[in-house]
Amino acid sequence: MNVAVFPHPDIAPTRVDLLTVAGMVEPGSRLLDVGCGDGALLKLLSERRGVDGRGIELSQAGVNECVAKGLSVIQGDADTDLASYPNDAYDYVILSQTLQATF
Amino acid sequence: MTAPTVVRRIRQNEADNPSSLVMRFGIDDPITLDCGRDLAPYQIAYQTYGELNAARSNTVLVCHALTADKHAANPHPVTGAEGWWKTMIGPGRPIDTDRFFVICANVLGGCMGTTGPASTNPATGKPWGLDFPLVTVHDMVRAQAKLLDKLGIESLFSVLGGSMGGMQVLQWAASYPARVFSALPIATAAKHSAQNIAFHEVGRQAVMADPQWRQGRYAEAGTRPSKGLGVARMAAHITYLSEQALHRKFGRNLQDRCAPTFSFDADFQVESYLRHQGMRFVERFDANSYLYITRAMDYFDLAADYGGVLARAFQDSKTRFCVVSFTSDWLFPTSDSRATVHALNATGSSVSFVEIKTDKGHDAFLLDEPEFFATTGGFIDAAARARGLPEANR
Repeated sequence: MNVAVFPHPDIAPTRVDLLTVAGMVEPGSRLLDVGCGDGALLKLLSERRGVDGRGIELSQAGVNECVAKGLSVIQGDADTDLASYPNDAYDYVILSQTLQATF
Repeated sequence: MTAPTVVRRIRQNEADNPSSLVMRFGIDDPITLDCGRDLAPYQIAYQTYGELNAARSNTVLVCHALTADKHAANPHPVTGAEGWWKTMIGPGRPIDTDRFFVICANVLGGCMGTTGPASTNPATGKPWGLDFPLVTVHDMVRAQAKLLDKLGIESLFSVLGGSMGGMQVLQWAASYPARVFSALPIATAAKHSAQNIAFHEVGRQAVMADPQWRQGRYAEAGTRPSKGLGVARMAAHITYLSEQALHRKFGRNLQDRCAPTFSFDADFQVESYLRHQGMRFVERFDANSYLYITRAMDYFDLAADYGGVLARAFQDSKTRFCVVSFTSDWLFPTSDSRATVHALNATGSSVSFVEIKTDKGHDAFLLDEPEFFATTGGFIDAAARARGLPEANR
């Protein structure tokens, strides 16, 4: 784990998990964050680990926050849209605090 | 002089001598069109807002839709109406004129000062009419590139537009990837659908069925196919709205009456509204130009130029994309935007995609949609930071 990411001014102390995840990602890698929310992790990863990060997020509000952060995030549903992503395009796919809807 | 005559004279004047900046290209500087013909001389009418910075790195090219024009953020010289994208362009707006140098040019084939069928053909001294060559969206973009070359602007900070404007954005990104830092194709598609071609054909047939159209030579006859063009606009206008929006605005309400008249008067408010839209439109638009530009949209199929694989159009692109669609847009539905997004994803391009919830249909991109402004403003601000442009002062 690379401790260089600690502490981070944009990351709430309660989201120490994001820092933990960030520490597990190789610098400069390609990464997809499924259910990226407001993009906090993606931003951390692109700033501190130099990753080429992409996100997919269901909520319009979340996507808007991501886009405003300069992140590349697609509004969509992982259940249906992941099929359109090419194989071997990412070194990591992150599923962090994302729950698939259950009926 | 009757009012329609005044309007006609103003319009003819706008086609040749527009109330805007004009870039003229001489007989020695032709543009080669997709149809195989060379066009020269020709001119491009354009408006600018804001100031070009010393590094020439802050230019935003705004591409207009089918019946819009270069008057994106200033009153229209013929109708006096406000700029069609005044909600988006201006100080402190998403396309912030305090930070960016904004260019909006009338498209090739248009009737507001860029050469088109309503312009005077220098070979005959009469309007081009149907002698004007068929132009494509690619031709429109070629002409814009020529304009930028002459203005000495190599690189665009951003290219954006909705509907046919979005088609130009996609064409820009495919044809000139190195010149486009960021791109916002809005409420658009990488190819025109069969249904949309069908609607356009109805509009064109309405124009050509009007006896006053006179095989396109109505200007010399001193007449205009206003009825046909008005009907074309009425039909098209329905496709720009949505069932929900029509219901919300009009329902089955009657127009200035308590009961149906048992006639073909405009009993319903929705009829009255459409008639009004048709009449307003013919004041400012040329019927032949409508034929040409709808045709250009019909021919648009970006993948066709890349072996049928849309992703190849964006191979190795470094452009940052933000694709936007609207939930109630049935003319350019979200599935069209998703097809573009999938192609961009397949090439590993930097792409964001947002589907804005609204009941306003296709025209939502022209209307007051706070979420749309939040998305586009956020994307543009972030791209400006990446480009090293000064922060927004708001």
